[in-house]
Amino acid sequence: MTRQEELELVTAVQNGDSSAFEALVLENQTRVYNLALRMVGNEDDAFDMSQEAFIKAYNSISSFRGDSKFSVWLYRLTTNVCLDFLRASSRKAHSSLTFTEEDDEKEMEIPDERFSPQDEAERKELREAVRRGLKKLPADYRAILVLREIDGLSYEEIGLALELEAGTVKSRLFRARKKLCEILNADRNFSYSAASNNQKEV
Amino acid sequence: MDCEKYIEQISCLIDGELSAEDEAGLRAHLDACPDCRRVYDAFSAISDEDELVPAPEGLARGIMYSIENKNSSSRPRLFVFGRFTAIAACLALLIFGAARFGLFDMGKDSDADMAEMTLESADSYDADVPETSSSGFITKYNIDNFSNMDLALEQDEQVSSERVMLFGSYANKNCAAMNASDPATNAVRKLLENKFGAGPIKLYSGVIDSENRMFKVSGKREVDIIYMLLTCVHLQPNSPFDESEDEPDPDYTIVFSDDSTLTLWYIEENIYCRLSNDENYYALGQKTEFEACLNSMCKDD
Repeated sequence: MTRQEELELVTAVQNGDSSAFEALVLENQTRVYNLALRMVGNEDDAFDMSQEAFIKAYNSISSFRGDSKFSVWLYRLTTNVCLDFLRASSRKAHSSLTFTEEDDEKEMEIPDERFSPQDEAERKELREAVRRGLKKLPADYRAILVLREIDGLSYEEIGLALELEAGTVKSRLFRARKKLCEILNADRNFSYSAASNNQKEV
Repeated sequence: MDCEKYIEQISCLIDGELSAEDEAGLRAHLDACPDCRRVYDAFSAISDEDELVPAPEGLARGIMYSIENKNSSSRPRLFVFGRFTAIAACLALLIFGAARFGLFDMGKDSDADMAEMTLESADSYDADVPETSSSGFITKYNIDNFSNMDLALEQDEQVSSERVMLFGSYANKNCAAMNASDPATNAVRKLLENKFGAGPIKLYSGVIDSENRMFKVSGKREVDIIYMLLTCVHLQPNSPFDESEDEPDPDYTIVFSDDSTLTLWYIEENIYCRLSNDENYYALGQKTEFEACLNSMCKDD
């Protein structure tokens, strides 16, 4: 769907044609659902979050001015819905919602060779370890990484989606990756190669 | 060492956000520094695009359904069980048995246990039902009965808006999620999803007080089954009661925490339900199933 087609649909919805919204849902549902799925970690909640995000989008569509792509605006709603949900359930969640300064001050551990998969089986194992690791990542780190990966958004678009300055996007993405590597380094279930315990710091 | 500076740049390089000049400097460094090379490999590896899973089939339909339903005041208002259960979640859900049904023998001991479990369920909201109380009976019960219900439902060819229920309204997001690995609950969910084209059914943890023959619902499965049994097939059906006579006493009254009620009558094998807003419907479940469910809860305790 081109930006122009997208805008025409949005305008139609803004003018009261609710059926035009369906095309926007169909166009974006896969990425919105995957974003939600990676944020909340299970299919049932991801379904609810996606639904809520789209309904919110519909209800507040008059405030969409076309400053960004419609999808980016949707990601912003989805991320917020997921973060609210995670906040509400953080009492029972295992992961923390926000990162701490201390984490970020630590120097980067050198990742071991498990990060260089040699074949498809190893790549699969790595992907699974990344999925597990994502769940352990603080939610705002998770949000920025998932946004980056799901649709290849630019720093500027991520900034729009998360209401962050471009500079913050850059440093937060770096920190999120660093943290994820740390989590994976410590993941004992992720073991396809004889991991060297190279923990030297730079 | 400049490694720290380069490591930050690696993140930008992967995202294609590094200037050409910085990129040249970084690449030269990566060739010379094995440690940074490893960081590059690791950052690239964790950014390896994972495949997107397709959105669930009912998602778009559910969204459009919610939107159109909300915006059309001319249509009959739909019964959304979730709006009660959402409020009831984490709070209290009471089922009063009518005295004449003396079905449930609640000993003193079980009263004490119940009080304890009540507290427990409020705390460990998302904890799985303990093995002892999530009886195999219920699991089996789900599958057997719902294959029958499927047949019964299939006879109704049309699902008109009057009969459609929204399962798992998104308003219930704070409620415990269904245990997706449980085949029985999944089977039921699939059935209802297919039938109504709506979202997944959510589970709600509730508590039923043990005084005066009230029953607690502490397990996710129990609440799920009750919820399922009491969802509707027909809204505003013909009243089964003789207009010239007083209505008989209800068999059960379910009180939700917002003081709304759901009143049940057994009409032969069926359950006729009335909400406090005077909407009437026949439940999906039948008398024997509903009682078996309540009975099993008592046994489990």
